[in-house]
Amino acid sequence: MSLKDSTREVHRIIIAGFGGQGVLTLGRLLCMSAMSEGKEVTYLPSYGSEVRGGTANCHVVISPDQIFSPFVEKADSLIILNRASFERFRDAIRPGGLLVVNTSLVELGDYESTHQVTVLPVPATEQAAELGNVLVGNVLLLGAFRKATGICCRKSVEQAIRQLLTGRKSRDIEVNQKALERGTQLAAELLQPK
Amino acid sequence: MSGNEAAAEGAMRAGCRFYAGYPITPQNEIIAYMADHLPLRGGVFVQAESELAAINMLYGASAAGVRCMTSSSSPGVSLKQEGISYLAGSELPAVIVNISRAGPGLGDIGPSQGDYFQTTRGGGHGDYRCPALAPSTVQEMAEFTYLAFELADTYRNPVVVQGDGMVGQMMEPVALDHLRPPRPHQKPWALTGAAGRPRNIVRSFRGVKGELEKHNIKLQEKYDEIKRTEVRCVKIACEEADVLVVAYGTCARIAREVIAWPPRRLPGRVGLLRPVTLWPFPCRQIAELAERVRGVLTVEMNAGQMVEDVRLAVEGRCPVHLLRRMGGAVPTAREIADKLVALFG
Repeated sequence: MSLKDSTREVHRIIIAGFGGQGVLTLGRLLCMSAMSEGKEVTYLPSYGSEVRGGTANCHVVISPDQIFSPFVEKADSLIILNRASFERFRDAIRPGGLLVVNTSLVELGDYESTHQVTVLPVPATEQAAELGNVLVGNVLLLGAFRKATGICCRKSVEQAIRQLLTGRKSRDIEVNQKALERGTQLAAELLQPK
Repeated sequence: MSGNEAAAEGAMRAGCRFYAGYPITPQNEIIAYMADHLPLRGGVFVQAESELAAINMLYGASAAGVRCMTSSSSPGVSLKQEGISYLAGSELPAVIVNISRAGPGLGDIGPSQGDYFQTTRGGGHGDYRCPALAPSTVQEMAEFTYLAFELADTYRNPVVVQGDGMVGQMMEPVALDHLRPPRPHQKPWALTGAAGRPRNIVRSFRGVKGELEKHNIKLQEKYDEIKRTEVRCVKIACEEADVLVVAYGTCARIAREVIAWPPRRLPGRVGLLRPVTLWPFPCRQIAELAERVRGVLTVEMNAGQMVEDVRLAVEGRCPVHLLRRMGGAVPTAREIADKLVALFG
């Protein structure tokens, strides 16, 4: 199964998890990275009462051309961080799409046999804990997603991380860069033809 | 940046130097951005004790000749209506940004266009109108808020930027460099200290018999001039269209997506007319297209409000239909396409 050529076509992404997992930050980093490469981007967050422990999600569209609707009905890619979001969005993907999923918290069950979708299982929470900060699971997944799709350069994400983490947060830049690298490695291993 | 931040940035670039507001979702980023930036740019930021206090602080700031703005979301804008009527009656320029949410009542925080009537009919008591600009992108949140200040000073009238929760919350790249500091408007009517000149009076009360009617006639002449000169709309693929969609703000973005679909998924050629000014409404532009299309579909996130203006514009030249979602729900591109096929396929 071949993935969409992300550099030339519009790419619609839904990112979902629970509040506090960095779902919205993941979306913003992705947008900032693509934007720095001259792409058009839209970022539409869920907002308001769904916070802290509730589900959080955002719709991201990346395109070489002007974007009209920022809503994603059928995603080209899903990035799923927890089980509740997996249940909610598991069918919101087009055939031939890509699911990047945090298998530390999600059991896929028979998903792969019932859906015509490329699955990239990343134990993001465990891997992030190994790096010393469970909160960087989001960037780990971003690294894997970027590697699988080639939607933007790794350098652009590194730059976006530095741009977003300023002031007191700048002390977290290093662990986030490590998470990005780990995600990239994991995706490279998973995508190798068996 | 987010649409809310863009509106605040556009305001400051237009020379807004006074902002008063009271928090409400989904427009809190405007207040936050103003609190962060306005004092550093020589302005005054006030988190008011209520929406009423905020709009009446604008009355004072505007009377003193200062470019000023408030923002809120639907329930909060309802509270401001008295103050907006007084601003209009006193011919004071001010900008009100409404990032509307679903009602009635406290409703919920989802995006909505349910304030269309309130915005385009005046909203408060008495015969007055406010020009209303409807952004559908983050870029337009910045540009239309900037433009709102120019219109407000040009016509000495409150101007509304009518967004919704989606366009306020979403983020997109924004270009701001072209929003240069505007040329200052002369305000000989402002209360700037009467040393060396006759005193100015700013008021909406006119107690002398006959004076109020004269004042109303003058206001109506001003509104007529605005109708003649300030109608703005965007037409996409309308020249060859068999069917016309009319939608603004968020709905226009989604409809624009449908227009770009291959014709085999649609009933013929579909054009889109997007009102940029909700008042003054692009009546003539819609009437012209109604002469030659098979029908019109209006798409709204309310029970059907703008559709009444569309019908007034069309005047029976062709059928006018409505696709509506309410209570914070947003129509999907597929829904719009399906409705077009069902109506005109």
